[in-house]
Amino acid sequence: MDERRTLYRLAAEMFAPGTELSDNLADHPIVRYEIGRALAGHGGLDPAQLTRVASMSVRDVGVRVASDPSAAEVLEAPLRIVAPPGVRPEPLTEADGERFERALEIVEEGVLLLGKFAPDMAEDLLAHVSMLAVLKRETSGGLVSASSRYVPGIVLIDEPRLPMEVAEALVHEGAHEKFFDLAIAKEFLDVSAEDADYFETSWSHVRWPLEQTFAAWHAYSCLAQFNLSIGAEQCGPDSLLAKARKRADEIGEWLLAHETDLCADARWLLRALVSDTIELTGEVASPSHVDGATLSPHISEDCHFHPLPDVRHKRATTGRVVAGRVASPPEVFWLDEDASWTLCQWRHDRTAKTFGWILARATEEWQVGSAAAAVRLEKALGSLLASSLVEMPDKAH
Amino acid sequence: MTSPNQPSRLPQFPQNAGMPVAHPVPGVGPVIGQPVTPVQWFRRMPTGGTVYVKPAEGSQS
Repeated sequence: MDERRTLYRLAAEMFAPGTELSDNLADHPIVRYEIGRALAGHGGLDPAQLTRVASMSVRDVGVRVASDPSAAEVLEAPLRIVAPPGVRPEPLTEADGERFERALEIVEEGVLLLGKFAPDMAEDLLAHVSMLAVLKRETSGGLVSASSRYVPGIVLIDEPRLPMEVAEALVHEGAHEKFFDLAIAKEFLDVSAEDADYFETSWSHVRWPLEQTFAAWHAYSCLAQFNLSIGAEQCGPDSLLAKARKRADEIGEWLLAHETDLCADARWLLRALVSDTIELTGEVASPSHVDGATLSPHISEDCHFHPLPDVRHKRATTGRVVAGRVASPPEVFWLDEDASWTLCQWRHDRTAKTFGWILARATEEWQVGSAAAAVRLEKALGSLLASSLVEMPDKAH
Repeated sequence: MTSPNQPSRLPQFPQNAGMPVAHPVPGVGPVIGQPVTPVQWFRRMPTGGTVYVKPAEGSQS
């Protein structure tokens, strides 16, 4: 979660220098929507707009529920994006009086139920849900629950009748929200995912692209695990819990057959979760199509390096560094430990430094021999050069 | 009432609540990635959502 916040903070500074996001601003779904649009190359960022949307009031009942009478206006984007065709969902708010209070009670009971049955899962998934909006039943158009990668952090649910409907929706959509967060902070999918095969469901014969397939598999896996915990508790009429294990297995088997289209961390998660129910063959996964080789140019000791002038970076509390450039389109990168350390050598000044100077520091701080440090440093600098985060001024023109 | 600028609280659950579920067995890997990994999620930003609708009324997520 801290890595996700670090990425959004970096992006805010890239587009609006001097902007500092509090945790709650960095988590706010509409703030993330606005920053995501800017990162997608769809315009700039207005810091005043971020503050304005974040002033919308919410009620905290274990999750923060949109309660402000202006919610329909502030949440226009997610409401529009998830709306079934021909439908204009409206959120329940304090303006709806007792009806909103009753929905709020059921949401609170649902959060408690989730925590009672699956406390670890509740803590894990709810950390990725920053806001919940309850839709008026007569306006939801058959929507049971929804989320959008374009407006990450907000879950929308139909007006609930049972706390279990809320608990299940939080597992289902919370799993999607966690996936959205993993996709921006870890190595999950890259642009080649668009060219990968489609998965066709056996139960509805709908075809899903790889990203949606992975998201659905993760949600069904979480629902299947939750289903193990609920005993005889009554589920809602649209519950997927009883079907979740079979569907998770079906999708999981397909993903295993297509795992070379996934990046490293997605493959790790896939194998970690399917190993409970699907027998894995072989100890070592085949090489990924998308984990490319790293450049390791031969570099002499007196070669100079410095970061490009428009490069900014931030370090998360985990130690990982995220770096970005306001290019067209904007570019953001996660750096591994060695590349992070290398880029941070310019945190105090951006003057050119020789490979020999950096290598001497690396040898000392990494506590390895000079030859081993040189190999690691060449790899890190090679990748920083290839990503246009660092340049060699001698070769710039 | 809280606003998004106030500290959030996550619900506190008793530590021994719920049925114990086996922790997933770690898979192989992770495969060693690259020192610098581009975040391409935002470049291919579709405006769609992951929507679960009632089975009789549309396709499921």
